[in-house]
Amino acid sequence: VWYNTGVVIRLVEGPIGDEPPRRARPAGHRAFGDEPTTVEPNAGPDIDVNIDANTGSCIGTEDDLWDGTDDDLGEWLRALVWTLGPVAPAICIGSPRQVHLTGEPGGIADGPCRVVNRERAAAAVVLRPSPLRNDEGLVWVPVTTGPAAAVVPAGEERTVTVSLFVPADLPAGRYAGTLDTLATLGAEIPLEVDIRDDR
Amino acid sequence: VTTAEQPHVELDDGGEGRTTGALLGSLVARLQTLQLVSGAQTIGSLVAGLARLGQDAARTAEGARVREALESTRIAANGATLWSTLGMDAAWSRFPPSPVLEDMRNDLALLLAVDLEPVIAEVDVIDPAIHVGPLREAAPIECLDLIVGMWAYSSEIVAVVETLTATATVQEVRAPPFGGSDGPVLR
Repeated sequence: VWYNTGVVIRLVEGPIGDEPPRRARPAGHRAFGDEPTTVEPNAGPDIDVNIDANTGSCIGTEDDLWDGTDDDLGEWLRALVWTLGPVAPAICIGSPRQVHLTGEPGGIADGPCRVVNRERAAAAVVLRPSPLRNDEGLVWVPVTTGPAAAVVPAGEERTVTVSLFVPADLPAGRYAGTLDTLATLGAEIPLEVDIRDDR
Repeated sequence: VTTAEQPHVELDDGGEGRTTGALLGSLVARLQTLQLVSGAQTIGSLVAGLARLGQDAARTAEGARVREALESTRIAANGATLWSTLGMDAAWSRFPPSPVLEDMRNDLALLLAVDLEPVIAEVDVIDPAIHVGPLREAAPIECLDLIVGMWAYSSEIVAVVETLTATATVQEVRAPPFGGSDGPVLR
């Protein structure tokens, strides 16, 4: 039983292969290996698990499970629990507008970015720039002056500053890339950096 | 420029994913799972999860810089030797990666939740305690001890890795390691 995760796994005692009878896949059915987004609450037994009972590896098809070996049920259950793991809800992130930084060669390119948390739980976010590229194909792998991080309570917002060291020999122009957030769901955050050289 | 038009990032799961109840359920499930899996499985999944996070982080600019800088140090060679000689390459790669970052964020959110007490009061938590044998006499450990310990542990790693990779911040121009580029790389 996975408390309050919305997932119910029903297990039938007996040799694997005899039970349970095959069922039609219900609407909203989620097979193991799908992206763990949201799970319908109280949806009943809604997970297909493809487990190698000896190794715990997820291999083969659903048939491998039901038509599998007569390995000890306890071992099988341990493999099942271990392989599925508890649900870990992930932060969903998106950006309706690109983040824009400005700077000059040999200086720092920076700009503010609000982090608006519309979720019902606090969220810790670290924004990490990807390699940036200009129209001519020049790739700039930026180094940040420090972490652009925020811990945002539910329903609130915080402003972080994204700040990059600009190489002295970086040609002026517009560089585009993304701000990445590790282990989140959602779209990439577009990042644009304008480098002006007034020298 | 109005506030709404300013650059911003939105965190929005539609109100269905990260609720205090769901996060509490995730934590309780992890604690209860510990009684069903072996120590090797637990550690293996944590190691695999950290390694998966490292692979993801290496796709960012700073992660790529750190990894590339480490590749030029003794750490890379000795790590590869230990990895293969002790069979860790074969072992760790077989464990399903634990979502270490999601779990950490979710546990942090629980610690910050304003509605934790009423949610716990409504929850029928069925003995979430971790059952252990009489390994030793109990020495009290508090949640804050763990947090400070994790801070010290991660600070130490950051300090060491940043020290080892400090030379990687030197500006240089060379061939691009990232696909699809036509020009040189500046860092």
